[in-house]
Amino acid sequence: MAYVITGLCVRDGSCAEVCPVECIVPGPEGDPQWGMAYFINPDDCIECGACANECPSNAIFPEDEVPEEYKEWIAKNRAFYEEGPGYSAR
Amino acid sequence: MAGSAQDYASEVKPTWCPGCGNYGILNALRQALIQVGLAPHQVFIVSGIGCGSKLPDYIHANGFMTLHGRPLPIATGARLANPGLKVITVHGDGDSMGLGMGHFIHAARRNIEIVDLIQNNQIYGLTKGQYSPTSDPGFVTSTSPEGALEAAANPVALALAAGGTFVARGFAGDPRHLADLIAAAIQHKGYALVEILQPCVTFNRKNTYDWYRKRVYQLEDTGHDPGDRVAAFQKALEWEERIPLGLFYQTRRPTYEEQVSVLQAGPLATRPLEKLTPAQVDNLRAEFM
Repeated sequence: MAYVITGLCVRDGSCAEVCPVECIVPGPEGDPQWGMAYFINPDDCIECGACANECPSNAIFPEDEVPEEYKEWIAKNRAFYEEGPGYSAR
Repeated sequence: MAGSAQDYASEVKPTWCPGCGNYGILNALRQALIQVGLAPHQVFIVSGIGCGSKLPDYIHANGFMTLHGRPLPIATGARLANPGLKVITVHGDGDSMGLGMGHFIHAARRNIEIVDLIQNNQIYGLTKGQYSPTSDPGFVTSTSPEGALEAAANPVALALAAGGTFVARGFAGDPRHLADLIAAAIQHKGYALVEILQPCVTFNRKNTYDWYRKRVYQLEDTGHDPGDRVAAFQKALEWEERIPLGLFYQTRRPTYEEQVSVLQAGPLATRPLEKLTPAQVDNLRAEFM
C-alpha cells in the first residue's frame, strides 16, 4: 500500500530527496490545481516510509492510515500522475 | 491461476529501516510473481538470516527462514521433493557469500532450478554494520577500522565461473527493471542468480542510492550478447567507475532434476503413498546385508 502526501504538505521537498525510487514530484509552483503540494506516484511507491520519516510537517501517511479529513488526497496523488503533469513536472 | 497484488499481501508490516533497499526488492519480487502468473501456493520462498532474510514474512506465499548461510540446501531439498514448486531463495551478502559461499558455488554448478536472489548491501546490517565478504577494499567499519583488507567477493563472476546458466544483476533503486530480471529468472530452466545492489541507509554510508545512480548502466543498452560467457566475465569485473546491470549470461544445459531418474515419474510430493509389500521390504533389507 502506497504512501500518500496530504494537504499538510509545506513543500519542504526533503521527501523527494530521500525517496529511493524517485517517485515524488512537486506540483508546479503557482499552479492553482497542483501547486500546493508534492505528490507520490502510487504505482511506483515501494512503501519504504523514508519520506514520512523525513517530512517536517508529518504530512505523509501510509494509505490505510490517512486521517479521515485527508482521505481525498489518496485519489489526488494518483490523479497528479494520471491526469496532471506527473513526472514531467520534475 | 495467477496471483494478484492482494493475494501476495501479507498482514505483517516490515521492520526494515525507512528507505531500506529491501522495500524495492520486495516490491520487485511481488511484481515479478504477478507478471509470470504464479499464485502464492505455487511459490516457496526460502531465506537465511539477516535483515533481508525477513522477507518471507512480508509476502503471502510458502516460506521458510533457515539457518545463516543455509537457504540453498533447504531449497534444493524442497525442489527435489517437489519440482512442481517454484523455489526462490532470498538472502544477503553475508549469508550467501560468507557462510553460504560453498552452497552457492555448488547450486550454480548443479544447475538445479532455483531462483537465487542475493541482496547485496556490502555490510552486515542486522548486527549493526560490520564489513562483509562483498565490502569494497578499504571500507571502514567498526570491525575494519583501518579499512577492509580483503578483496571483495564478486557474486556475478563466481556464478559464471561455477557454471551458472542465468547470471544477472539488478538495483533495488530501480524496482521495475529488477522485476523484469526476476521474472526472466523465474522462467529460466536451471539455477538463476540475480544479484541485487541494495543500499543500507543506516550503516553503509559509501554505497548509497546516489553512489549507485551515478554509476549503474543497463547491459541491454550496450549491445552486450548474453550468450557470450567471456564477454560476461569482462562485464562482471567492472566496478567502482561504472557498474553494469542486467542479464550478463544465459545458456541452457540440463537441470539437475531433469537428470535424476527417480524424478522422471513425477514429483515425489504428489505420488501416492502405498504400503510396501513384504517382498519389497525383504529386498530392501537384503540390500543392506
